Amino acid sequence: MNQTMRNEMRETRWRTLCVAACLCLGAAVAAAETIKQNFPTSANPSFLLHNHTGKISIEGWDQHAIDIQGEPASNVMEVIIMGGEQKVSVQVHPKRERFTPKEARLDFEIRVPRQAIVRVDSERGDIVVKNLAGSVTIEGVSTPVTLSQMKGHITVRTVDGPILIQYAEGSINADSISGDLRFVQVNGSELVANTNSGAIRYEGDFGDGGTYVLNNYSSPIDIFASAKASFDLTARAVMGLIESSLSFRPTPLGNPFRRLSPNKFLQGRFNSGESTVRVTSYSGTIRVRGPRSEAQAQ
Amino acid sequence: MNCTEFEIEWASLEDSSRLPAGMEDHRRVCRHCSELAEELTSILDRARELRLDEEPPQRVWVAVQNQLEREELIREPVASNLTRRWKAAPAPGWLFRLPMGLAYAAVFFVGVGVMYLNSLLSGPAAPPILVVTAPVPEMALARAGTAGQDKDVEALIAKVPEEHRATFFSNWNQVNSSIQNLQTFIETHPDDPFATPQLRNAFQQREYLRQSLVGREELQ
Repeated sequence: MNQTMRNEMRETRWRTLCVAACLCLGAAVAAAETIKQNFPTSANPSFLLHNHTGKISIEGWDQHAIDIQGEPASNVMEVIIMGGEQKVSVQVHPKRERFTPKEARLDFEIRVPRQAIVRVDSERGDIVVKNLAGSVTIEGVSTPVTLSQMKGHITVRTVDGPILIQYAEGSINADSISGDLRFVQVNGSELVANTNSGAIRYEGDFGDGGTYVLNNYSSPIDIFASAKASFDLTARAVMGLIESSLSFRPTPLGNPFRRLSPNKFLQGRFNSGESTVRVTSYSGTIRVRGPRSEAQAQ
Repeated sequence: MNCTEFEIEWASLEDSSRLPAGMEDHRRVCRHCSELAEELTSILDRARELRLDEEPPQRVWVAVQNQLEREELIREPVASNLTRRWKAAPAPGWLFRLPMGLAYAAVFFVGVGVMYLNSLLSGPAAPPILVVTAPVPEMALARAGTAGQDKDVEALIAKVPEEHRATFFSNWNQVNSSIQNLQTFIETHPDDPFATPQLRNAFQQREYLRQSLVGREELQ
């Protein structure tokens, strides 16, 4: 074999490799193609999203349409989108049995009418929802959930993902098994927060004459009540302790647990007692304080 | 005055040492009434001299009673069955304490009334305390049924992808541990109304985990 033939073979191999590389790259680009869909809807359509892994951002807007943008990391996940005037659903399923979390990642940015009814299921990745007035249901596993500027009925559940709800009104249920729950300026007719081992923190006014129930099994429960807050408090630390720096006036109603020391059972009225606050922890410490100082905010 | 009138008037006397004129006239002329008056006055004088600690023993009174019954001067009253049962009651004295009990009750209700008026005047009444007593028997049944469920759930956890398996496993164990501790606490403190809702929450969390696992399997 002479030198000329060797050079031709080398060149052929090189061309073949280049073509194969271009084909693979093209296929990958095609598989990871950005999802863009827009559906004209009614003023209060239902929107359902089932995702596996990835950040989900849903925001209310003033248009009667649902706009969906998705960024898949690979072609491992199959995306099925079905849309109509009253209902739009997005389902994400793995195409094969084995895949890595990196491959499964699919980020969504979605805009829905402000009055839309939203339901989201996801296993991993942040879920951020804001500026909605309709009913919102979120279920996750290890998903940190942040809800802001909400006015409707909210139900959030995670296994170990932390939940943050801020500047919200309406009726709120937040449950987690080991995730922390945090509420900032949540004022509504009802807030029920339960976690097994997560910490709970409430900062705000306990407004709207609502009912606020904060429960956990272990870990601290911290309450930072504003000076204008007005509520009747019943706090019970079964095995843990209660620490309070607020002054409570006795309420007319008695309770057999009054005989317990104030670091086990605390009942009293702050300002005029418009809302009802009930806090229970089995082995965690319940701390009730005034407005949060800068030092505490750090 | 004759002897019969003397005996009748004697019975109504307050002070037998000073007899009215009519009786005194009869006593002077009637030997029988004179002796009767002397004996009765003597008995009364001796009776006044008896001190309380010299009260005769019970057997004397029993003997007196028997003698009077034998002479048919007194008779055992015929009691109805109801009365016998009443007398046989273990503590008949409560009836005599009833007025005192009513007095205590009256004071209690007056106190409650004062507290109620105070609550009306001191501002809006506090909302009811949110104590919900969960049906404990349901919890007990759940405890009995956990063994079978545990195996099912552990099998489901084993099918979860590796990156989530530890999360489900640790949370499942954590919830079960809290349920056990709460059940033990409630068994020893059944009056604590705050522990029961906690137990209910833990059961709901357990159920949520189970449903999540079942849902995952159905989707896959």
